[in-house]
Amino acid sequence: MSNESRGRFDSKTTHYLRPDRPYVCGRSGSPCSNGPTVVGTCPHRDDRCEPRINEGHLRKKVHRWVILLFLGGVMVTLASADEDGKPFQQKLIDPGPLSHVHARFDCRDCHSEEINSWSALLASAWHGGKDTVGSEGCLECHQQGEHAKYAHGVSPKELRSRSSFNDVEPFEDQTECTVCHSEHGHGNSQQILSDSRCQACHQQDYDSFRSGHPEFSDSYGNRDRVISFSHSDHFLRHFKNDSSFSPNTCSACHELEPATGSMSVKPFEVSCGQCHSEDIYKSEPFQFFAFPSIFGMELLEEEGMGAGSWPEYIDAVELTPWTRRWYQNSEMPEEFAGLMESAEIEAEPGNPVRAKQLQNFAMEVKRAFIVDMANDLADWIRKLLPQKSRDLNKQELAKLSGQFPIALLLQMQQQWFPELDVELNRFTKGLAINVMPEDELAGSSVEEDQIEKKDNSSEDSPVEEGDLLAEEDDLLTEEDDLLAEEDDLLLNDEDVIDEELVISSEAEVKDEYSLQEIATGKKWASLGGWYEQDGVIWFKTVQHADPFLMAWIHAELTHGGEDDESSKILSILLDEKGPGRCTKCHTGVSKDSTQAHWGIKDDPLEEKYTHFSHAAHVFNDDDFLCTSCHTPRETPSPKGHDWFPVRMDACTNCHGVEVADGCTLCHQYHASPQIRQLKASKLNIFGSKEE
Amino acid sequence: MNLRPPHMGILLLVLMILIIFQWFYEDAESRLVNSAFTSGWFLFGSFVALAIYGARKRVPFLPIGKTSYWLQLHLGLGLVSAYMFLVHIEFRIPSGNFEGQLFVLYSLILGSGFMGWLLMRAIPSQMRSDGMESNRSRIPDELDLLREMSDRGVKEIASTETSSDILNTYFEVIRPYLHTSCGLIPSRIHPDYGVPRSLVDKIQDYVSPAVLFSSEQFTAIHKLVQKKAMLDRHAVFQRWLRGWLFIHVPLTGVMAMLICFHVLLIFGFSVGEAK
Repeated sequence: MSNESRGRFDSKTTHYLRPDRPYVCGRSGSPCSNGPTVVGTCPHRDDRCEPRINEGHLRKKVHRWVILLFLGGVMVTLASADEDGKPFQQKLIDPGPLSHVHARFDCRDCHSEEINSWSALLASAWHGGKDTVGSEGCLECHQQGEHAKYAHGVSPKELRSRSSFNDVEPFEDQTECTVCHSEHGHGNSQQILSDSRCQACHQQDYDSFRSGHPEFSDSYGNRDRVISFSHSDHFLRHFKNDSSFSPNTCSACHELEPATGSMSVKPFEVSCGQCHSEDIYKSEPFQFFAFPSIFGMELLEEEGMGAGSWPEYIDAVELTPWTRRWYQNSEMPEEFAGLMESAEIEAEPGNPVRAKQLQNFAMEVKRAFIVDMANDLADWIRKLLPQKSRDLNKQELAKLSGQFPIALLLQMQQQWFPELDVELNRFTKGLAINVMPEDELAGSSVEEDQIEKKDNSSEDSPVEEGDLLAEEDDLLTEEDDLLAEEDDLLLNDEDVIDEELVISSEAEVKDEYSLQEIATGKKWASLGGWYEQDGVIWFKTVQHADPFLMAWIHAELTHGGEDDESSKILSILLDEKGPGRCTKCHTGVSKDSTQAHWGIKDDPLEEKYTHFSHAAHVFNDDDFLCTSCHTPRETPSPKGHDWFPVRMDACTNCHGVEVADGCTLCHQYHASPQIRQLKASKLNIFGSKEE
Repeated sequence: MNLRPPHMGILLLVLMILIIFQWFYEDAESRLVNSAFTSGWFLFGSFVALAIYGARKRVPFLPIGKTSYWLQLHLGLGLVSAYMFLVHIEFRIPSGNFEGQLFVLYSLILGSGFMGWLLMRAIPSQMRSDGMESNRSRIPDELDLLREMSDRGVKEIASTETSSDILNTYFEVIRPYLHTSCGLIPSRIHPDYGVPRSLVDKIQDYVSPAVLFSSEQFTAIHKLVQKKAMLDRHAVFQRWLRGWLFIHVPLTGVMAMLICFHVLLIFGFSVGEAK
């Protein structure tokens, strides 16, 4: 290329701005030959001009200054550490506020505290951020169970069983919480599951809810029945006959539960109780506690092995399962195993071994009984409970006791064992315990035998001489008594004369009052509760949802296990015609289950994949009635439902195409029951516990 | 506004990039992985591709397509990257300090680029409408020359018998106008006199504009004033045509550095893949 000047177009002499010259002379018309310096100053001392900057050069300068200013700002900010001296916990890199539920969190709650320098940040970035806490940090508070990171938070096997896949492998992928839940200003993290994320697994292809969505299952809208109630039967039969109790609206018996948005049945007193409250009191009482009959107690005394008083019954008595539990838990010796199974025990004449066994058994029962009387009610109830439920708290024990009164216990003791302490003391001392009069005994009593033996064996005893004298005194006393009786006879003659005079004057008036006509225990307990009848302790249901019955059913279902007595107790309590007639209506309570489902309640352990709130669908509008979605059926389904299942049409009839509003409108990802369970907080509000 | 039809090949290329991005993003969503990483890397790639346009201008000798095609690709990618950016930030305004700065910076770059495209489509036709062609770098010289000629012209007027009002008007109004900068907003031109309306208003304080501009003695200066008005108008348009680059280009450099820092922070503080 030629170095010759190109005249007015030469880049070094022209006025025109050229990229290779940052400044040009500011003189118009006649620029100076050497032009301004590279820094933009005029070289002339006189007649100086103002050089003009090249546009490209100006752009470079601006660019350079902007970048330098920015870099300077960043360096200054990064160099200024926070109070803890950790540069990466400062506001420059603050990624935004946390959601309100995590508002009080510190960076270190989720992120590794080790990332506090450039080198640590680079190392963490290089290793893919494995130093951060991750999902494990979330799960410390948000309990999701052991399958938290699996799909829907349930075990792969459980999920596979709900699907058409045979292989469990597709369900074994794990997902981090942050894939769906974002923090730092990402708004409400509740509704962040997009349809495409659902379709990562659920790949059935359809256009919308109206078009192609699978129909609801046949059980939708009809939960498993736990109460046997027939709408059709009531409306078509009972209410037709007597319309006075016919409800006008569904809300007469049903109400919305605001917390869950589900519809429930109103309390018994408001709904069923209007007609059926009397049924509770018509139910039969049941035998709670009674000792077995021992036939032939006199044979024991004849054998010299009397056991004192023992309950005598008019009718045949049952050995209740509670009594058997009482035996088992009273530490009765093994040798009585056979006796403890029998409601009727018989003594055998001429069998002293049997007599001795029965005597020991009877006295052992009395010993246990008197021990119970010395303790409290809670101890007594514990002896009637299955082994696994001994550590129940007092509130539960109170329900199980039915507030059994001490007066009834004393009454039973008076009736069963009136000389309980005397008999036990004599038995302990090896003395005879006879109830029958001596003259009724066929042979000599044990006591007489003992006395005779003592007379024969020790005639020289000074003490016994004294006793003989004492006996003589007793004979004298008896003579005095005979004289006194003669006086009484004389007196009685006078009384007889007086009484004849009274009767002659009031012969026509009958006695109006008599203690012989007081109510029996059963009659008196017409409103329920404890009572005694014919030597047996009975209980009659007091009210609907009787706490005593419910507590026993709950205790036996949850703790009874394979216990025979538990099975018998449940057979008594859950009999359809038994106490309270519970199972006539409550079909959700069965001796085969381990939990009593008294009402239509959400099962806390059930996995939930959908959600629906009646709260958003119940209006005071004649166009939106319960029957808009729930269609009654006159003939119940095989499962006993008298409503047709809710169909998709119920949704689309009202919502139209708008119902196609995404999967999460009705479905929920976290199906695991753990998500609905609150983790107990570490309560230390007064600093009572050391950290 | 002069809108050119896009080059079909470039249009198809941009559409293909958009479809590929969407496919990868949907795939990430469906695989239950953090789709922000996918959109982030695509955004990073688009940013690099956009920046290459600037580098392309520095190597004009390489046979890698016309600059006009590159500009169309730059514009198309700019629009696609705007979509990627919105997807990446999940259609929300970031609330974090650093992310907020990135958001503002990106918005400024995108906005300035869009504004530049609008200006380049709209201004040239406006400049051509007055029939004058100007070289931006010559305008200062031409204005100097114009001022010199004006001063000479007024000396000739002063040497003849003339109204003092005309001279007063020249020295008080016309001459200061000839020495003022063009500013940033083009003046509104009076349809009868071809000079700025603001100037006509000021002249009215001294003399009737109709008298002044109809004076034969003042005809030469009138033409100079008209030329000054046109040169100013062109200078203003030139400023707008180039001015947006003083925002677009420097901020792009800043953005490049912030993106690197953003990537470092994201990987440093991210949870990582499921174990």
